[in-house]
Amino acid sequence: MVKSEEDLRRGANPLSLRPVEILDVRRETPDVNTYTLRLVDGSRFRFRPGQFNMVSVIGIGESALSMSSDPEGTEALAEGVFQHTIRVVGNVTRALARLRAGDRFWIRGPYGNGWPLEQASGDLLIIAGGIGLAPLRPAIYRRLAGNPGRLEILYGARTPGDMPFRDEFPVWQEGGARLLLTADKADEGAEWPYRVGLVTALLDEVEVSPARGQVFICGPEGMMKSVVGALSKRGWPPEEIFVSLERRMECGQKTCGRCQIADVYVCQDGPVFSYAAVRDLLGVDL
Amino acid sequence: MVLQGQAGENAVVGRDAFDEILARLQERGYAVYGTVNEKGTGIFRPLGGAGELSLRCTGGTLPPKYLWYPPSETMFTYDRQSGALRSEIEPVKQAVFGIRPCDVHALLALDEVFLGGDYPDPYYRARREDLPLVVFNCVESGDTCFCSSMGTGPGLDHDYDLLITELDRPGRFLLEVGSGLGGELVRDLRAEVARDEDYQVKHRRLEDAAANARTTLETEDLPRLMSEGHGHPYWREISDKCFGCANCTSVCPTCYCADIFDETDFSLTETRRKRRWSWCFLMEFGAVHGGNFRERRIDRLRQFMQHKLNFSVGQYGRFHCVGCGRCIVWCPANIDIAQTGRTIRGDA
Repeated sequence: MVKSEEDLRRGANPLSLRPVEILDVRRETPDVNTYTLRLVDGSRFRFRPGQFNMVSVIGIGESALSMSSDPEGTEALAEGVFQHTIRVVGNVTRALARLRAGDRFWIRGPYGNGWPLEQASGDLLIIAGGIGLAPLRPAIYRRLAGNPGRLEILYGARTPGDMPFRDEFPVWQEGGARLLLTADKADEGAEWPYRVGLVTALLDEVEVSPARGQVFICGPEGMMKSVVGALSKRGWPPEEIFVSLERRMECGQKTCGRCQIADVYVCQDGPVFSYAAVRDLLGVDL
Repeated sequence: MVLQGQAGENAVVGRDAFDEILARLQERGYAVYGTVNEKGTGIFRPLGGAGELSLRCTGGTLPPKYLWYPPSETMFTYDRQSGALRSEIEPVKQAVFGIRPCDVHALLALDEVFLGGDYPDPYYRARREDLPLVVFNCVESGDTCFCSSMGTGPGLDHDYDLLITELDRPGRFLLEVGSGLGGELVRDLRAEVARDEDYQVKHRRLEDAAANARTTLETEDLPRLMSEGHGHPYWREISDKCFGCANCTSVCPTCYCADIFDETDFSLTETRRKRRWSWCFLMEFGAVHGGNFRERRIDRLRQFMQHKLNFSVGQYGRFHCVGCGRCIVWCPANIDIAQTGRTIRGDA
């Protein structure tokens, strides 16, 4: 969790919750919703792209979920709003799916380190799988807002209908991003002028060069492993590849022990790691 | 002589001094816990009188960890009618009489886990901040003790309020005062002056206890050797025997893993957010939607032992195994962490 001066003064309980109000719920796909939120106390919720909250529906439980909005966007600055884009996979996310505008839930955070955007000053290649696009969306908006380097986005999902943020894709492209899409499968007759197959198949079309760029990857672990393997073969050095790992988390404070991989705590040391830092951890069953 | 009650003081006392120390702790409002021999084993429980204290050199079945990190605790309560959250963090006054050096080291390891980060854990802190420790040095080794290998015993020279070492004649104890509070507990007590010979006896007894340890583990370069031995066939051998019962983690004085969950009462008026111990041996420990990062028992057993003998050093610069040997005692499959370390490093 990011420590602020104010927190230090009041000796904040890192595990206490803050209520948020839902301003809007947008259905992205049959099982993914984007919640536009504001802290009930009216203060602006600050975070860095790639960080996450522990989100509570009290009585059901708590889940680690990434923020999906631009932390420095117009609405964030003017109204203090932020977003979570959440796929329904378990008890907490199912309970969240029942909530509507005007309802409240609780958060604590932000936790984790986030994407190393300052370090990625050259070209940026973003590779996402499924709901893994959500934690990358803040980084995409930050890049579009102010970096002259090239931005390429490779995105794959199970089907075209499983892609969140589809109506924003043209905005990203107009902003200068090169967007390459693929779906594992597309129904015959569906309007899908893009590729069918795994996201790794898009790597041959990448124009960003390992010589002056970084890669940010988020998706299922199997997908990330195969993407990282393919990138390594194409000459990407492990120090320039960043992955956001998913592990079970209960606290976000390095005390529940759940997210450990060897001596790494994903909640605070990550969730974003350079591949160089976790290469040896992902190859074996840790 | 009469003790002045200063840190750094020392004296030789009899067992009657224990009664006075216990009484003074209780007068100051502490709930005092100590190791008592019951049902053939030592357990930490509230002390009735100092006479109950067991001087036997083991830390007992269970470590005193539950005093500062309870098996289950309520973090806050949510009133379902008003929507208000009530946090329940009350300072706790407890003292441990007869804690052993290994368990003090385990406590220091947990201090780093819970208090060492940017945001100290307030629940742990409420139990830890006022926690007098009256330490018994160990003058003999238990069968499964390997504190001398892990550098956590049999003697302690820091982080005690009072330190007590049994000398060679029964009923004579070297008392060393480690803090101002420790001093208050013994001020004005009549005692013998501690002489050089008494210190010689103390050091000899501690050296003997270390030398006679029947369980050992060489820790030089151990983390690296454990990493290199991640694929050692011995892991398969012991995981084939392991029941996955989590006894080892349940009795470990440094295990801190937890589950955080909500519990709502039957009248649906209140929800309590609770934290309770969890164990890396449980199947669902590393499970997320769509997968389990430690699906096989060998992965979970190895996580426990690698964490103690390897990963903890990368995380905190110290082994989260203090050599107390409890996990060895309580393993129904006779799996032995010290034996495992020796085998992986090639010393077996």
